[in-house]
Amino acid sequence: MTAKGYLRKANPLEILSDADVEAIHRGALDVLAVTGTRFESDRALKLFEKNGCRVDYDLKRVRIPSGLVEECLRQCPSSFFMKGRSPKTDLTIGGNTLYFCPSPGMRTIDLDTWEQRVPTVEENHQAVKILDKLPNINLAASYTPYCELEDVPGVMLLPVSAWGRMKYFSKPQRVGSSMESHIWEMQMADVVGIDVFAAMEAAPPLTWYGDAIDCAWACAERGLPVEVGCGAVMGGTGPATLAGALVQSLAEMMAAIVMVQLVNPGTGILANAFVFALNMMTGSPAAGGIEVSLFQAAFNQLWRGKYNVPTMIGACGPSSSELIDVQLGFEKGISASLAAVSGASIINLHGGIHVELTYHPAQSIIDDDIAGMLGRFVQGIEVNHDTLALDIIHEVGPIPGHYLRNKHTLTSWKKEHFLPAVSDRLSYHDWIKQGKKTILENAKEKMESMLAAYEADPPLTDSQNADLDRILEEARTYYAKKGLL
Amino acid sequence: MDNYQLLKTSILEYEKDNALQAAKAGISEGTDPLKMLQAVTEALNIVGEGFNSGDLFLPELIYASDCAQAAIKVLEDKITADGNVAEHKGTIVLGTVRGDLHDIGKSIVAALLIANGYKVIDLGTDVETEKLAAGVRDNKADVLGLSALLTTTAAEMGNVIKKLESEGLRSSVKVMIGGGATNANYASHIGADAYGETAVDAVGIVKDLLK
Repeated sequence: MTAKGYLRKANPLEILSDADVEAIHRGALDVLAVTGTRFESDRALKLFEKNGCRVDYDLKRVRIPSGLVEECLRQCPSSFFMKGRSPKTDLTIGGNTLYFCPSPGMRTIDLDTWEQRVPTVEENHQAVKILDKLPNINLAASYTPYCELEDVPGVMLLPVSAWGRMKYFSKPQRVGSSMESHIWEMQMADVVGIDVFAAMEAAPPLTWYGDAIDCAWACAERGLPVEVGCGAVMGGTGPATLAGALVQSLAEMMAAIVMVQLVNPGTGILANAFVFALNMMTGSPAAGGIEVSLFQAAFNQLWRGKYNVPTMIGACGPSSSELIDVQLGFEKGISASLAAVSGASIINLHGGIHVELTYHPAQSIIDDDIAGMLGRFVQGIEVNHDTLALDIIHEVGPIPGHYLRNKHTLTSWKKEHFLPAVSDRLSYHDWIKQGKKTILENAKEKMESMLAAYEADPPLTDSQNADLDRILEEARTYYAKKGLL
Repeated sequence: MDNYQLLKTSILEYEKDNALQAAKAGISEGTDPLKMLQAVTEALNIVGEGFNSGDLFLPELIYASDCAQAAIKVLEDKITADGNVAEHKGTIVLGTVRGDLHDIGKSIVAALLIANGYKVIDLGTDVETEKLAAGVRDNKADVLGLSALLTTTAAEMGNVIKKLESEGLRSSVKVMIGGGATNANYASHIGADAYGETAVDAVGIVKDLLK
């Protein structure tokens, strides 16, 4: 069973004033027109020049006039359709619907010692199978669940990762943007009959690498949507101030959107936020920090509110905690909650543990409870004759009246109350009797039972499986010829 | 669908009127009411198992047991009129003691006992001591279950036990207590036979008491 996403009922939280929104927007236009952005792609620079932008080929710098930026922003559709392997996994991204997506980790983690290690391909398959069956997972990003696999050379990581997802994951996916992996991933998607979208992620400050450009270009040409992402670390690769980081990120993303819309006007855009503050103690990203949530709330307001472009909120998945503990829970819980109430279209939440270093399927199962809770929250409160329950309140009256015996409770409680899958809801007494199990133990048990029960739905045919294997082999041959294997 | 199936299905679909109607139709069409009672038991077994496995919840449990109770009443009246006796695992009288209006915990205990094949007479809340003693006597109860959520009303439980003693009923009935204001020490202090911490405990306790 896959949820069709959660339809948001309440108005999203707005953290910026109208004047703030306008100032940040103007700031981004100013950066694009005056300093410009670096595009490491001659064909992209030529396309910009042809459309009236000032291009410096030596510096690979493009300065874009504000009018063109605003025109291209207007070309972005407010939603777009993505086909899954069956109608129940199809998505329409955008509008008021909230979806969830996994958050990657380089490696797996031992749940007893909390030591990280490189997972096997089989462990990757298992983690994918769990994601396929989690009711609140609607799509997957490239690089998920793991970004490093035992006995798989780096250049083959993305093709092997996509090959595993195509076999064991029935929902729409994002292709990767490294070493032309999108070529193989798009072919595999055609084999299994799903839609994919591009990953075009900035190299802040204000730079776009060839890999990201090529991936977006290829998808846009085929009419597939493009996820345009920012990824500054505030105080390192972006300004330390929230407003400054927003300006820079918007400028980077707007430049990419101009390119995509020039390649194919009307291409669907997914605005991705993956911005952290710099951890001034270590120099790494400070995952789980509250400034991440401030950035993401403003990001949602700007893209959803001002530009009417769906958002993917990527920095809710990782925490700064090294293990599955209280810190991990509150960091993920707070950031995902604020992303949900501020209007995210997609939240990347499931499975990530420590700053994209570690991932575990047991955590993805726990995160599915968070996703379900937030989904229920954004659906809000239904107010109608039946839910107001006036007749029932009159009927039950004061004590000793109660509602547990009333048919209204029987028929309404499951629609109104969210039931978690692994969060503990036992009475204290029963919890003692049943062995004082933690949520992590519940999740581990659930993982085992889900894997034992796994069946692909719909199953791949033998010829689809053979085609996937063939494409993977072609990728291997291609990279070997290039001397990369 | 015959009335037997209809009765079972109605309970499983929480359709009280249909359950009642199926029981009545069964009787008027001459089906053995003892056999119809078996349909109720089968439905309640399914509900009880569903609750224990976490697939069904309190509203389903309570409402199914209410549907069953409605049908049982009609069927047992007919069984008695025919001069027969319906078999139960035991007869349990329940009540929340005088001065205490808390109903939910006791209702859950009642539903669980019904789902497990016991005959339950629920006397409700704020039940006078005399009425509880009369309930034990009139129904030949095997077990009396007393509930109290307030520390101020828990003392009533001791009075009920004294009343059973003075009426000569104490030796024929086991007394179990439960509710937020009670604990195992209090149960032994007032001379009750058992204490249940949760509603689910009540089923196991009754089983032990009636061994």
